[in-house]
Amino acid sequence: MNKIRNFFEQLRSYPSAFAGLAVIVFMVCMAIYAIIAIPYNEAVRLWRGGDNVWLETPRNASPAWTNYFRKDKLPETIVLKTTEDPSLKTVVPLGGGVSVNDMVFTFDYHYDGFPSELSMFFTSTFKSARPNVSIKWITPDGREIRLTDMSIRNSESYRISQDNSVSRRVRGLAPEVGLFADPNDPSKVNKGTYKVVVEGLVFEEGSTLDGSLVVYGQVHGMAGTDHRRRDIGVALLWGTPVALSFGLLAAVGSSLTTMLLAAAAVWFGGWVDNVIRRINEIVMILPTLPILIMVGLFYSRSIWAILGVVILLGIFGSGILTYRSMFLQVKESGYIDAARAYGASSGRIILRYMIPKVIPVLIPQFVAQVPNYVFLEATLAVLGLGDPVLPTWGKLLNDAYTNGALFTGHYYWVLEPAVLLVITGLGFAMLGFALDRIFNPRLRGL
Amino acid sequence: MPSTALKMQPETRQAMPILAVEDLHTWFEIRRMGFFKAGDVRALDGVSFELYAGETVSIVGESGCGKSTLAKTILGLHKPTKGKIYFEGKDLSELDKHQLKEYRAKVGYIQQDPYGALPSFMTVERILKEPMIINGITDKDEQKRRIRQVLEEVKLAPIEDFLPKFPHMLSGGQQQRLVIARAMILQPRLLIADEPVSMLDASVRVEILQLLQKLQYDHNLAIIYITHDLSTVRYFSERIFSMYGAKIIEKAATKSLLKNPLHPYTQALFEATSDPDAENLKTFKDVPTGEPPSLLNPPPGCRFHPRCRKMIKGLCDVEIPPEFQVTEDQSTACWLYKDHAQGK
Repeated sequence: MNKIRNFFEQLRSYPSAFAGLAVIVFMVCMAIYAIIAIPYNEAVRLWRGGDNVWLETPRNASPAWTNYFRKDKLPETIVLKTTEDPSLKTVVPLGGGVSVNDMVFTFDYHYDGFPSELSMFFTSTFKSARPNVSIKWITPDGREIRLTDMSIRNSESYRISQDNSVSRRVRGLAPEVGLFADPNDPSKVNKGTYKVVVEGLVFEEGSTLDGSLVVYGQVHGMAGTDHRRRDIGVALLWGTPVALSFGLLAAVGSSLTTMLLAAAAVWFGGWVDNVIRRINEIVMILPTLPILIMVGLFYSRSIWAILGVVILLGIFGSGILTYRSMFLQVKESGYIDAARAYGASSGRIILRYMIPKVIPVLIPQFVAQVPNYVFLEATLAVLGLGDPVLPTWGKLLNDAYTNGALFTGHYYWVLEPAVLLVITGLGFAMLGFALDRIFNPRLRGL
Repeated sequence: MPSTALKMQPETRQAMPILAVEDLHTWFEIRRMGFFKAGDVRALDGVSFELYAGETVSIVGESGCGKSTLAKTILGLHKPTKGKIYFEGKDLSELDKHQLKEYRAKVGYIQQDPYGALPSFMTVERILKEPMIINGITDKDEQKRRIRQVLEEVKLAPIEDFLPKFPHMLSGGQQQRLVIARAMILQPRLLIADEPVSMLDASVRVEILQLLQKLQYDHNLAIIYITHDLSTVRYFSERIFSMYGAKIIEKAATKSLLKNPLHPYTQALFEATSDPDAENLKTFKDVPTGEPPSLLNPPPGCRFHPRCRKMIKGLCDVEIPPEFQVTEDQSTACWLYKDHAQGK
């Protein structure tokens, strides 16, 4: 306990360490929140579920908080559903199984920007006669614009923004613009209360008709959406546990194994030392990234396979030589001789006598190594070798890159994962530097 | 310092020595480019002696003469190239793994640098427990009892205060006491003390030596005391072995050796000892010039002959001197005494 208190006492003289620690704690909390709030299966469904999952979110929408920084407020998505709010629908039976199903979707629109899209979705049940609907658009100044008449199958979507006949009725403007534009100045939004009136007729007893109106906004959620209407926030949240666990596991796996190998090489010496050093020399000159790309292309893109290869390649390197030189010194210590004299076995000497002596040097290096592996995972994902299932930061960057996010002005798509990566790296680096000073007596007092 | 060193008389010795070393050689191979043998460093080159229970033997000699190698070879830290070590009559090279562990428990090791000899990351309690855990003393009460006993013996009190401390929190003297406690915790029969006080303050040295004496008296320990500090030798040991160039060149009872050192090197060694005596102002000390011999390529004949003033041409530089029994309790490997009977 004393040791730990001492350690924090020393840490106090390095404010950057606390900043780094705070960042890491924040990241860990975020990771835990992500796992609890969006369980793995749910995350995979949200990320790879198909168009039905993302039906009601806008495409390429900016994060909602961008509205705080602009004068002309951009619209958020408005969704109205008769299944959720039955008061939108009135059913009047006319006899003979025929009934009127009228739906009125009323919403206030006070944004300065036009919606990005406009859609209606209908569901119905019937035996042979399809229900019919006739849809009207009523602007705040009382103009009535006929949209369309259509018959409804079990599931029908009506993309208003793709209906050219509507476009013709609003002076050739795109429907989602024309329907909202001020008649005197089409570049401005006519603010007020809009109504979409659906006059429906069903022709059979027991037949039902439900509808919904989606006015797609230009902003969505904390993080915005991508080209497939997916919420980027899901990937940002879930990228955290993936990145942290990848970085930590890779750093732990490789540095512990490195240390064990170096200790064994030094302790047993002779041919063991020779074999380990020769292998190290060979692996040191192998190019890591191309090997990982080949593994990703020809073997598996699973994050576990990549992790295994990263650890294997990470074990060898200059680290093993550094540790070896330290262990050579430790091996000559009197206490090792003493331990041998009272009968300690080789395994015990390596694990209990040699490694604990070097651990203080390992900790800062280990902390500083974590972001390297986080970046490596992101690098692979950017190159299109990310895990095919999991949403990660690197895959966001990859999507942003392939869809030209920066050319089309979707800067948030690149910046959000990039900022998280930078913060993670910064947090571990700041903590690592401070730990290095605490544990490395030669740097103390600098 | 009280002299309990001569309490054991030769006739009271047991018939069987606790430790017998016969013609022990420890050579370290020097390799060139990792493959080709370039030669051997002869750190020990034919050492024989016997040690009885309850006896203290000092081994004196200058740096690099093989004192520490002898200690480490007896402890089993170096494998002897040739020769045999018998402990309680059993040949060490014939022991199996289990017996070797038992042997190691019976031999305690005290090192020169107490701080280096203690793992800096373990507490005092852990340091004392380690040898017991390794040697199968796992009973918690027994462990506690032994820790209490050895700490009392080395006078690290109050015990509870010391148990959670780390070595760097102890003073040099306390560290060395802890090293002694660790050596004693397995209740050894033989202690090998490799310059146990040379890194300590002069004020602490006496205490540590007295402590060793008391432990020897209480437990009937045999002690091999390695030192280059001749001033402590006379109070501490019954016999003195003088080493030069990887060989023992003189074996004698302490009294006789102090009165009349036989080998020219031993004589020179005692000459070189500083003694705060006003008479020294007027006398001139005849200290041999030159350097210790190379152990990689030792001189032929007597290893000391290039520096020896009494060198006999054609004998000393040609033939290695055997051991001559000069008096009953004094023998030396020097051609000057070739008229006396050869020892074993």
